[in-house]
Amino acid sequence: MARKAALSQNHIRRSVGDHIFNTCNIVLFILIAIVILFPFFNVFAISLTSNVEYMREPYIIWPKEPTLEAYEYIFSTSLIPRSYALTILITVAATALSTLVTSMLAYGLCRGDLHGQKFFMIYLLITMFFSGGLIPNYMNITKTLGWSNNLLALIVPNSVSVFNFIIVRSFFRQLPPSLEESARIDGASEWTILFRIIYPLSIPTLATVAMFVAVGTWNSWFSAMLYMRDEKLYPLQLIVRNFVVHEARPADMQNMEGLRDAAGNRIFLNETGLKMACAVATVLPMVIIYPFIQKYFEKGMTIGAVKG
Amino acid sequence: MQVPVTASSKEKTKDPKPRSLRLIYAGLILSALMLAGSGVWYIAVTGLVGLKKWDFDAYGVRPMILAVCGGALLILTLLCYFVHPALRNRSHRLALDLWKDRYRYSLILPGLIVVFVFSYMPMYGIILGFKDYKIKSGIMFSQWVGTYHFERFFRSPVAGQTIWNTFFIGITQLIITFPVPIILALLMNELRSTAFRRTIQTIIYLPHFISWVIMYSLLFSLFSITSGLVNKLLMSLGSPAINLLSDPNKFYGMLYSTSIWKEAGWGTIIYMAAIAGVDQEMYEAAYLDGANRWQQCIHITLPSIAFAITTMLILNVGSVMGANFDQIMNLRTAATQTTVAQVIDTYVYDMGVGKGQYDLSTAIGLFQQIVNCILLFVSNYVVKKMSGEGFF
Repeated sequence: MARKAALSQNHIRRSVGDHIFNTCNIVLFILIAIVILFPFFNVFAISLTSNVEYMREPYIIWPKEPTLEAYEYIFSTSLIPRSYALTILITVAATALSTLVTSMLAYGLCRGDLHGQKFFMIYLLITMFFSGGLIPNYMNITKTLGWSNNLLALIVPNSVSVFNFIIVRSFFRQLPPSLEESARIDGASEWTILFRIIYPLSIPTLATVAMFVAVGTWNSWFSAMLYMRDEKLYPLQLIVRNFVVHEARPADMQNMEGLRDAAGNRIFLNETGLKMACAVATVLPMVIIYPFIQKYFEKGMTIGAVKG
Repeated sequence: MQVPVTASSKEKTKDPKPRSLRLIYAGLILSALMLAGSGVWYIAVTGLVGLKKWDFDAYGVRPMILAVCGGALLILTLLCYFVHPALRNRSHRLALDLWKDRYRYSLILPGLIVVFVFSYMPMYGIILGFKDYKIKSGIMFSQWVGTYHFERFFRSPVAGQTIWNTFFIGITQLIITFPVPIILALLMNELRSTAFRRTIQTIIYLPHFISWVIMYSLLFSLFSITSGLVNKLLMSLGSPAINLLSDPNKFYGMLYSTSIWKEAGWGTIIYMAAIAGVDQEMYEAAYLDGANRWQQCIHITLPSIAFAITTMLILNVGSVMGANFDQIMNLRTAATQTTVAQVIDTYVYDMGVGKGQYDLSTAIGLFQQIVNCILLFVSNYVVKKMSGEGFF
């Protein structure tokens, strides 16, 4: 890439067409960036708008008097903070479990000299192409395992993803076998080798896989909708979904009419602002963490696609 | 069984593999029979004792017969298991190998159990598609009805439209959205400033990380008929508001554009990685031969990433029928959910979870799975014939 850039920059013949193309290209990507970022900005702006201003102004790009009252309100209910804690708990537990189980599986099967290796691989790969389907899965978890209204139903079922398994396995296969051999000769058990030697060497790959699972769990709402009966056990996404998509205000927010300010006047909160505040609260952790994990997932995606 | 011939496993390749393989298969079959036997026995005995209310009459089998059959099967397989050569003769190579690798087996065991419980156990529930499900009989003892549910579905007027919608949305969405990441990656590759390209990459990957629930919230904040920014702007300019969210005629457009907005940037990762792997000397040679950037792009970059494109195409075709369940579930509204937005996945959900028709929706789900599998293998076969490179 660098050589290519140097080649074309040092050369005298950079045609007019080249310049026009470069400029158009840059403008195009700036436009794309705006199209992507503006909706986020807009949602944030609405969440900071007071009801009075929202009703008065014909349209709002950025509120004249930004207010945090929507955030103050949603975090004063018991629902949103509890759901926040719950979602973090589910995400952390599912990520830890999935990364551990998947990497153990990948290490056990990475060298290809285990008896039954081929059987195990086919056993795992079949699940990529064929599954029970919605209702059999639902019956399995609610009837057979009896996990309705149980947080385990949101944590355990996805802990082995064959796609992630393939990513980790192909990384483990690239590590020199002599590493394990020498440790084995020194008397280390397989568990010690995995935890003391293999894991420290594969942090970028494990981080990628952990990130896939964490994002998937944080963003999932469907299994919670299927298995959770009690609103107290709803993760954030499901609350936002019921609130925004189905326009059903959560039970905990029904008493909004009783709100008074310090002088005793009734406060009317901006309903759309509340919805958007919930959405911002839900998406914020993802947006904050995202730049730090970018370098990992680019690598991880590539391994998965090439070796898949 | 394939064993890579390395220094470490050379002594193993001398092993009489076919024999130990036979033993493994025999062991597996015995385990499966044992499992089946104990299952039958469990059902019969719990039914006899009265612990569970199995509907034996509707099923037409006497519990006593079942108990005897299951018990006999269990005992026989147990006996076979203990005279199994690998276990009887502990000095046998296989037993030694299994013992030597016991820690690695213990490493893979949790994963195998999870896959069994959450992927294979539900597969048993597929037989529900061929039964008339009664809650008190459970899956096992409900009446067999053969292909009744399939016929019921295919005869119903909903079926044609649902299947058509599924294929139409899947195929048009694939055609419209698939080339976008490729074009974006090619254009992004032409950006001269690395810092600018990194910034753009950071921004266009971002939408992949938000859920479709949040995606709907973003759309709502812009296009809600009463309070969306775009509609407010339009109304303050005196033009009528556009009803994007619940107009059936605009539903497909909304699907395509949200897919592109959310996933096109993410899709460029693979193509960017493939482009980064192209040998730079080819560009220099082409440049010296007088090829301009367009020609370099068409004749060098594009062929170099053809394999990545093929791979992604097969993956996408394979999931053409069920890739956008989450998207449709969040973008459909009362005006669209029974017409243009009704695809097989959502129909299965509405019938199964909404109306409790477990048997019917299992049958429809099975039909969809089979079509999906066929599509995947056919697309792989076609691509293999055309380019010589398949995915598997």
